[in-house]
Amino acid sequence: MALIRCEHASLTRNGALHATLSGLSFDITAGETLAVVGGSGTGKTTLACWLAGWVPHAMQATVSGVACIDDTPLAGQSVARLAERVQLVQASPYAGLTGCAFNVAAEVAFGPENLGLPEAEIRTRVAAALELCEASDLSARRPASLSGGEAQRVAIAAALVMQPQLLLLDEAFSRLAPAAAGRLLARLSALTRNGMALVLFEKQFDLAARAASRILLLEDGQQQLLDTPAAVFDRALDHVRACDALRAAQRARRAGLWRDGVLPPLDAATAPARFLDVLHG
Amino acid sequence: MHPFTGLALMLPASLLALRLAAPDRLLVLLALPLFLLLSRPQGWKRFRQWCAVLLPLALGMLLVHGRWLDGWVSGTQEMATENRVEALLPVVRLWLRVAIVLACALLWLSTTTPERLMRALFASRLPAGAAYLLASPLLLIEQLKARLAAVSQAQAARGVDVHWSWFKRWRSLLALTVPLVVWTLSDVGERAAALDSRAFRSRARRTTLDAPVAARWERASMAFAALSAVLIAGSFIWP
Repeated sequence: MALIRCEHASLTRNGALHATLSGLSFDITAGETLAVVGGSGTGKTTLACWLAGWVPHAMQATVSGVACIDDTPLAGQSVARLAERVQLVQASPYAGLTGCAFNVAAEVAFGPENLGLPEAEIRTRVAAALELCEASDLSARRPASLSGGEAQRVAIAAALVMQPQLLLLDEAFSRLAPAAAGRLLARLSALTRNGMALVLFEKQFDLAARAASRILLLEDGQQQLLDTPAAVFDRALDHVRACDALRAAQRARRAGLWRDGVLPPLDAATAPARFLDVLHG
Repeated sequence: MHPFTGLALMLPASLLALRLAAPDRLLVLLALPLFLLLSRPQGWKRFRQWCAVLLPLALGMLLVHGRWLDGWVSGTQEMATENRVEALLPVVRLWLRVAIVLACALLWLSTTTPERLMRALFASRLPAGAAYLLASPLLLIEQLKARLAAVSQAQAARGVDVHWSWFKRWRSLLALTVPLVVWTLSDVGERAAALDSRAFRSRARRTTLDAPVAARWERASMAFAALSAVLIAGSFIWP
């Protein structure tokens, strides 16, 4: 059964003349990684907030169509109750800090404390989440003193510590160095083997394609494509960022220089092999 | 010491300060928290804070209620010494009461930290929302400091020199405070969303890590303080 199911779902923010999101039809199953890609202002953050249950409490909007979590409509659910299953990491990591803690370890522990878990389990979870996000050395730091990248790692740890069924990452790696982002994404992808579903909201195609089995392309709030990364490659690259190797591959494909049967490269690491395949067959 | 122990003992001390009328008795009552405050680590620093508030207050009260300021401004005839002493008596009493409450508060604060107090609030029987409301002033300081630093940097980038003299800078005060206030207010929604996203108040009971534990003598002290407070409050009704 799908964890998230959207059918012809639309969302119109209060006061807006047109729908912010429309024509959304997709599902997310447990253990799956889906990437939602699109340029700025295409509605990625709105969709992330919607899936996190923020409508209508924290985001005033009207919705139509079907948008369910475990066959229960998303709209109108208590955000706090839903947070036990769904976690959202926002692009600005400081927005996710509760301000209820005087150090990073306490900030990360705040969520499990709210769940009323035993102290020993909270400590184990916090240590594991901080370690996974390479933030163990930050545990005694004051949250307000963290740099952007550090705060982003702490925000992801604070979401992971809740052990959610669905983790929504809204450009959650934007302040990390590419190597650190890749490492962290690989670790998060490994968690999907335990059943956690992962949704990446990204402007960076290669980062999204590295982990996702399917990519949903958004343009002006409308769902344009939903397919494998290789299938959406040519069209998606017109709208989102990608490394130079992928741009070169897209131009080669447009110019008819790409060999039939060779898949487009999905990140810089696989690009040389793909170019060699094109050259030598 | 559990943060609530000191807080509980502050209540009868403050009520007693209101109950006593004779300045000499109030002076004796003031001496006790001040002596204890000075014996604490960083006691002198806190004593200087106490002086920084109480001495200007004393001066202001003396000038206004002793009618000196009145005489200087309007040029009216000076008040007779005995009348002036009589006029100052209630003022001295008021100053001593304020001084006692402030000394007790500083003494209490010297026994705890904001973090321990917040943990004690969250671990108490108060609803989580009420505990957050009470703890929010403690939490706001850190956020305001960070915001102020960000606003200062933004203003400095736009030509407000933070190294100017106070006189020059007060003209830019509006440019500094308005964004700070607006930013802080707009933060409220964001903070609420962040709390909800971490399942705050989703369950009736929450765990508090490293919650301060009240020892047996502390629980006895709190009971004694509550009883004393009731007795002193009762003495107002049945003098």
